[in-house]
Amino acid sequence: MPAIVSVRDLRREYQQGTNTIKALDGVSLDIDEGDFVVLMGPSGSGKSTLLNLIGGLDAPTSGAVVVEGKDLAQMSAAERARMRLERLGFVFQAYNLIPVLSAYENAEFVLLMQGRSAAERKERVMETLHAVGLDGMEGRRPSELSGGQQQRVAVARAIAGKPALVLADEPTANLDSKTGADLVELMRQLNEEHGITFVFATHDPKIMDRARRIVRLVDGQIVSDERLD
Amino acid sequence: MWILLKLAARNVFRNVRRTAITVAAVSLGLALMVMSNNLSYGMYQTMIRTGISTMAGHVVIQGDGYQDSQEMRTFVPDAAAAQAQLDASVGDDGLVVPRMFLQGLITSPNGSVSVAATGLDPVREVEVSDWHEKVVDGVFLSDDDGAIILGRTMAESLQVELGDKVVVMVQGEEDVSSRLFRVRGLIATGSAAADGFLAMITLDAAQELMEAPDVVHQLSVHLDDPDDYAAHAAEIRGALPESVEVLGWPEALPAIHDMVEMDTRQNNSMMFIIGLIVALGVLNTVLMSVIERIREFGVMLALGTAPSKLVTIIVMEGAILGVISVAVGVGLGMLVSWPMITQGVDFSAMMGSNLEVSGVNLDAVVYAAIDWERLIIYSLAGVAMTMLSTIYPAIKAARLRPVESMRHV
Repeated sequence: MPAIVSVRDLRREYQQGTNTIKALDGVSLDIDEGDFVVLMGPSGSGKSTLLNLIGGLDAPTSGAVVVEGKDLAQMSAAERARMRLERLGFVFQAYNLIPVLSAYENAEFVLLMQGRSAAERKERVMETLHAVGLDGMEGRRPSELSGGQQQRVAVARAIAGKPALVLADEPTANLDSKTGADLVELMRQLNEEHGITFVFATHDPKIMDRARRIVRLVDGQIVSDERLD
Repeated sequence: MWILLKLAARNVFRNVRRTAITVAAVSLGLALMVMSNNLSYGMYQTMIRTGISTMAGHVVIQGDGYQDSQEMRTFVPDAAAAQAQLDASVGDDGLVVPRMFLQGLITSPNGSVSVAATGLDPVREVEVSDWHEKVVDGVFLSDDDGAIILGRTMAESLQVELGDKVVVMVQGEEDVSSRLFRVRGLIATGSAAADGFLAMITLDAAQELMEAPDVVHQLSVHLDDPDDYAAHAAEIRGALPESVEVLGWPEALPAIHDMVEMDTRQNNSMMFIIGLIVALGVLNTVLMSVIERIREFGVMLALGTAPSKLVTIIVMEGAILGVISVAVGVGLGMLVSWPMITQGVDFSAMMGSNLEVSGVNLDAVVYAAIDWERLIIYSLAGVAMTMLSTIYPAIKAARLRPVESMRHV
């Protein structure tokens, strides 16, 4: 399997007053296409920072992030934005749906930004909403959906644009155990059936149970990298 | 683009109360501007129309230097020929009216007062001015060269009535020249002061009094389309000899023109200040709404939305706010203006019966008029202003960094 993401000697430091916080301290990692990887570790271990750097949402202090063969540091902000739009999907802890748009419109948003045709958008949105089990809820706004349903819409939005890679930051943290388990199962299913690569930052055991690979981080460094399948 | 517009529209109505307050602020400001401008415009138009019709024309032809000197023996020579030439030049676009302006003394058996008598061609004059409509007793001038129309106050001063005789004395070519007239009508212009010195006689009688046949003080050209005055003035200037001066109405009525210009400038400054205050209010509202949505914008940026699209959404929100505010504001402004347009505003309680502005006697009831040009300018400016007010918040949103923005609470 070729690597969809290559991270080399990645460092990210923050300035907090006079102190320098090392959020990531020399991380190197390859993620294969079609993988289902969990980045785990305690709070402050650097897993969300790593996810943000892979997604081009943040810039490293040093080191390189290569996604699908392209070094993010060599890309302009607009090119990185285009890459996120076309090739990446994001699922956030707090769902982060656009409150004034319906479930259908939230899922459609990325497709619209990609400039897809109306027919293609409709087909993709209905397909993904069906895949995440939200048939019949297309017209509801986020405020009319439960937390689990909102996160399903977020997953639908993340996969509607047919991304190569979905980055999910604590996607089950705000969900009850059953809803969280269902969502993990859903994402695993999408991984297996559609070959979408998933990278999670989490300490939810439910996700770890379904992971193919678990990368543990402590104090900004990888302390173990375990393949489970 | 459709999704951006949809997002913008929904964002505008996300906080209905805030939107309503913003729309109210912009539209009330605009309504005030529209109403005030309609009233000013109506007054300007009345002043210009009255001034042009009774004191000048859209283009006036006078003896060279008359405008500045008002010297009674500065004439347009060969008036009949000049008038015929002008008639041919103006054609169907308007009407040429001859006038003479005499200063002198008018006496009756009971007294004498100074008089400003206008010599005019009654047939042509009734086509352009409304003197004949101001006759409150008797009749207007006809072909009777012995008839005189007096201001009502003057008649009271002279203690004369219809049918009584008066004598008008002016400076003739060498000596004082006088002529007997019989009072045929009384007029009320709306200004008691003007009614105390105004009189009207026929053009032939005026020429006879001045002992100057075939001359006039003024040939005034009254056009069907007032906006054409400059082109006609240029054409006439080229056709007539240099011994006459050809003036467009702004030069012939500088007091009115300057007063309108000055008042318009003053109004513009006021409108600009009102616009600025409203714009700052809109800026504050949009800025607040952007700050409230920082997290949302962060998510959109994270998903790969181009910053320019965020700018578009926010500017569209401004445009939607602007269009709604303009529609409400213009509607409200017109609604308030309507009674002023149809029934007028009676200034008599404030100004008495003497409403004289820049030498023009106006009716105490002033009618507002719709200034379409300004209405369009204000409407476009209203939308542009609300859109401009969103530029700073929009740039602020476009510069957000996704990671930090998504942490924003």
